[in-house]
Amino acid sequence: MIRLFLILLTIISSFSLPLHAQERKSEILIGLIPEENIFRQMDRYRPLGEYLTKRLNIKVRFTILSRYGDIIDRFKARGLDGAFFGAFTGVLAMERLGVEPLVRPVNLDGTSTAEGYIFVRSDSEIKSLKEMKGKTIAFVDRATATGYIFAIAFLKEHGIDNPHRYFREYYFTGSHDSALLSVLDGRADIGVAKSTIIKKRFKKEPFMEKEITIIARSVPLPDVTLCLSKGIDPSLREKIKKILLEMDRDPEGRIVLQKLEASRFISSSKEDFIPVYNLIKKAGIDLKTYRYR
Amino acid sequence: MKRRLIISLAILFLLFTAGVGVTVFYIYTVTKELETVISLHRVEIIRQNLVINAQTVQSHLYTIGTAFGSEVDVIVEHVSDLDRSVQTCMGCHHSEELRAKLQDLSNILEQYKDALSALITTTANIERIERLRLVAINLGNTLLNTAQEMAFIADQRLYAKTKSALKEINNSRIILFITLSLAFFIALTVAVIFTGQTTKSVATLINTTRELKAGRLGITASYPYKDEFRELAEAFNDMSRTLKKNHDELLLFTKRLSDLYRVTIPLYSLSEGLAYDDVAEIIKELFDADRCRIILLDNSHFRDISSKELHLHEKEVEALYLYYNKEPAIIIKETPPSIAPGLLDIVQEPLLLIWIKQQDRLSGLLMVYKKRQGGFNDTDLRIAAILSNIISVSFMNLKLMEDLKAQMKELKETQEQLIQAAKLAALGEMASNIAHELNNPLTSIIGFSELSLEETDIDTIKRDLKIIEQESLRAKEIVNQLLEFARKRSIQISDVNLNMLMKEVLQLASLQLKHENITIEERYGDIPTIKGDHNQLKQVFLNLINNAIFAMAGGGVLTIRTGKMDDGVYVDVEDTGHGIPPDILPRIFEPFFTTKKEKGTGLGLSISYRIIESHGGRIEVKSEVNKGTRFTVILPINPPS
Amino acid sequence: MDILLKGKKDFMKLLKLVAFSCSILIVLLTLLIKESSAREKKTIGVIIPAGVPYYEKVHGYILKKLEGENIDFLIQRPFPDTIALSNAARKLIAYDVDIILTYGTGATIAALRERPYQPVVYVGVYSPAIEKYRTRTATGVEFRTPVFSIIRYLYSMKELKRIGIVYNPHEIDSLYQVNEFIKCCTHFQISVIRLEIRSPSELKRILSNINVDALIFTTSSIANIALSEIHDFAINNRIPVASLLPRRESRPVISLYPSPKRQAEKAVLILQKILSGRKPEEVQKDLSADMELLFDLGVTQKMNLKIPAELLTEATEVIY
Repeated sequence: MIRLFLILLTIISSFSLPLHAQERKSEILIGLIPEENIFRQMDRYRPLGEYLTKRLNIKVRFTILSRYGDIIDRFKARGLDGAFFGAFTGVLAMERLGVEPLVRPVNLDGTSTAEGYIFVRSDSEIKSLKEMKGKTIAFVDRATATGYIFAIAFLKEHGIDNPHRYFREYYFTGSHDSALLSVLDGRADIGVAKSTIIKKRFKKEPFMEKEITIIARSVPLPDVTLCLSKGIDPSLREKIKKILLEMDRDPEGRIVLQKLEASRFISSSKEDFIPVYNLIKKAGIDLKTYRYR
Repeated sequence: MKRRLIISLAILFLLFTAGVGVTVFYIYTVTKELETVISLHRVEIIRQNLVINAQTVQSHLYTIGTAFGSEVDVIVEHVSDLDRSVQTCMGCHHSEELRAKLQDLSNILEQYKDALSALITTTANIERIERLRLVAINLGNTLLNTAQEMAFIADQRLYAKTKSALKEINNSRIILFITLSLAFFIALTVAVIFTGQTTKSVATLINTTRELKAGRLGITASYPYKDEFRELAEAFNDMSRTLKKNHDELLLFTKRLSDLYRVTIPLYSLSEGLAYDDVAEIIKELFDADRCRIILLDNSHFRDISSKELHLHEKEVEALYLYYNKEPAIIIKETPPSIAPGLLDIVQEPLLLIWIKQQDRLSGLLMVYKKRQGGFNDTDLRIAAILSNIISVSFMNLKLMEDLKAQMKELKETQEQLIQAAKLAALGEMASNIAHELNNPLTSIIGFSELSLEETDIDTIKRDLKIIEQESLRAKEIVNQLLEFARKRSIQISDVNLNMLMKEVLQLASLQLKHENITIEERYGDIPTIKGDHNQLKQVFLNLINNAIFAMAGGGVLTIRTGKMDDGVYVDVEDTGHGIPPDILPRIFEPFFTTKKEKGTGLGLSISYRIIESHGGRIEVKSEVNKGTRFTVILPINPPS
Repeated sequence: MDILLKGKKDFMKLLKLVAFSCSILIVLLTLLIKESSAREKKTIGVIIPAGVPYYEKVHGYILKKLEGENIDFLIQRPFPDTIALSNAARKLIAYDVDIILTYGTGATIAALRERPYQPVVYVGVYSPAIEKYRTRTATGVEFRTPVFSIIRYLYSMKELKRIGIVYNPHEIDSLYQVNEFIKCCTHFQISVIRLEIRSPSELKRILSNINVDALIFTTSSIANIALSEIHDFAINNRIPVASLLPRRESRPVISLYPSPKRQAEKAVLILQKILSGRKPEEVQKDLSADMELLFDLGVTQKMNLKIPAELLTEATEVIY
């Protein structure tokens, strides 16, 4: 009975949330961009929320920012205090929302960056850029550095100024996995996607690795980075940062990190995003006017 | 001779002890069975929880992707709850069939989660999103169905358990009976053999033995000489007496057990409430007592349920209970201790007190009075203890059943409230939804404009432009609807003649009606003018007629009927169109619910509903698939201010 | 006399002029007629294996694309066995068609074996199977089905231990595909049962005493026809069916095949180049990716199989 009442309360309060978000700082709401099965993702992050809640004495909650619509607008509309952004969305949020990077998790294999891959099927005729003319290419999304922008920069660097005319067809799959599968299934000749997601998939289905040949890679780009909104009180900001950076020295924190599938958090700053800015420049994209939806 | 006697008596004793052991064992089994039955009732609550979580997620599936998505959090939360419910179930069920079903449920839940996750995160194209939505909804329904099936199986199990418990009780009766008769016959046989072997020496005992054989237990033989046979005769007499005593005790015990069983019968008919009088009557018989009072806790007082004249304060009774070390039953031979002064008045004769407990809390007591034969003995006390347990369990059962009923009722009510609240909330959410609805066509327009700019093939450009045109019209339609919706604030009340109004509306729609080859039947009744907003009402009926035309594409009959009712006037708009399937009928008034695919915005009926509601009226709808639909608008003559 | 003579001379001159111009005219005319007839009618001889709706569909798209061009189509629909296909090819060669257009690997190899002097344009050909038969006069559209994807999708719906692969030993493409499947299944630790058929009706008999978890139909035309006969059997026994050629009405759970529309578009580009006088060896064959993934959700639900969300998002089309 109590739970039913709570459900009712949640439904009612969720409608009025954007209105009150500004006034109360009794809660910190952090957005997650879906990267895998969202229930699994939530299960990974939930312990982190509980840990921070306990340490900060302020309720810390995560919410899934479904990709539907515009992430920047969603950030504003939901009144978020921060989010785990990707390389490109991070830059976009810094430019348009003024968020500041705080920390990023280090994966269990020691990496905290991701690369963009351009890949084909291993039995494809395509061995290099010059055989790509007139073929079909699958990108991930206009708003990803590893799944689109890096490839455009790469093509421009090699003298292909109008990539969309160079190929017979190009399309956006909406997810990194989907770009990989498009190539595996023979629905596209060439695919562009993020290294971490591809490696994760290879680990799960080892046979895939033989089916795919990587033609080009980007420089390492910052992967998932926690950025906080400017509106957050600087002392609170430092407190959060300190807790996260010292988590791996606390036995309880280590358990939370283990659930998150990370080894620790490291500090992050705007400088980490310089390679992303470079790529954007090479691709000829103007961040002020770029329409990614 | 002595040895033989001792042996035969030992056999008898062993048989008797075995009988008692069997009885105790069966009573223990029966109580355990009852506990299982009770725990099975609890499962029902977990299942209800599961169903509610699934239903909540399902209800959000229809709106996901149309709003800014705080429902994603709600879905994630409820799916986690769902997960937990299933895990809880996995932890305790053991029946093979149920376990398989649970495995099914857990598999479906995994698929459901995958589909939901993909639905929430997919951006690629609308067709794929719809595919996922459809499959997610189907999986959700399968999930609900499986849960219902499981409930069915659990019910069956409950039934089987109850049945087997009753069977156990019956078995214990039969076994007791057999044990006792066997003891008797063996005793008889032993006696006969014993007699046969000592024919000569015990000639004098023959007659007595015959009598004994005839069943007159307890008969004694007189033997004048003081020799071994005297001893024998005395031993024989002893045996005869013991036999009689044992036999009597056995008979008494059988009777008691059967009475005990009879007490339990009314106790099992839980759902009907307890037949207290029957219970009291049987308990009286059980202890061969004069009177039995059933006293139950009612609002901090213990009251006699039949006479009402007796009531004791709760504290007093509890003190007494504690005084006797929480024994399940006690015998008060003289006056009770002074801690219960209220009891002093009623206790004048030997009294047997049997406590009734509910979850370690005292909830009643049975008072059994007996004037004759020096009161109660230890056997009575043991039986009373068993009785205390059985009655306590069945009272608990009864309470659990009532609780369950009340909880189910409450659940149903809360569910209804939830649906109502969700509907209200959706209505409130409309503004942001419309903004978002607008975003859809605009996104397409921008997308296709970009595509056209890059395109050189004139046919493709034309095709893109066509889509842009369609999308723009859709946007315009939404804006118009929105304006109409917004205009609602400036309501202008005047006298409205609904017959005239309907004629105006039909005039507006006449071209379309003609085009779709629809004949109109107008049956206007003599109705008074009502107070209302002319334009808004017009909009309502125009919307209803438009829906009717849509339903009758290709021809049909549109019937307009007006008339007076006791509390106002009614207008029927009836078509002979394809009708509304019963599963979507309850949803047609929800905002953005539409069956017209590209054409409708899904706002028409919900706005109509609001307008009529604001006039203090209501809309009723009756529909039969492939026969037609009838909307009845009922309006009061004077709307509430 | 002089005048007369002079007139006679003039007349002769005129005569000569007329004769000359006439002959030029005739030459010009014949040239013109020859030229125009050369541009006018071209005949394309077509071999479509009978009973395979997929090839008819591709052909339908090609006809639509070439509508309005002055082309005669001479269509042969032989039963898909080696002899009937060869006979059809011989007939077209003898008829002296300008281009031979073939559908599917079987028909293409049959035509190439006859060593036609005409250019051969092929569509829907399984690339590894045609390797040995390539000639200078042949070019066309090829494809390569990633068998790994089929196994992966099937595996995500049901645990697989034994799968049956339906093929025809006379159709080389299907032989190649069986080998690819065996290679792939070894990795997944699935055993492969070869279901060899020479006529469509054999399959039902073979299946009656064999136990498999899933069935895969190769691009063999015979296998594709056989697909229509086991629809009920598959549903009743809850055996998911995957096919490398579509056959919608037989409702395989998964079909992964080259898009008929794309195949047609690519073939038309090649045909147009050859019609405009380019030699086949100058026109590159096309092996670019154009797979379509068709997922039959209705049958999946009927069989009570798992519905992987990935299949729903990745499928080009879903049948409900």
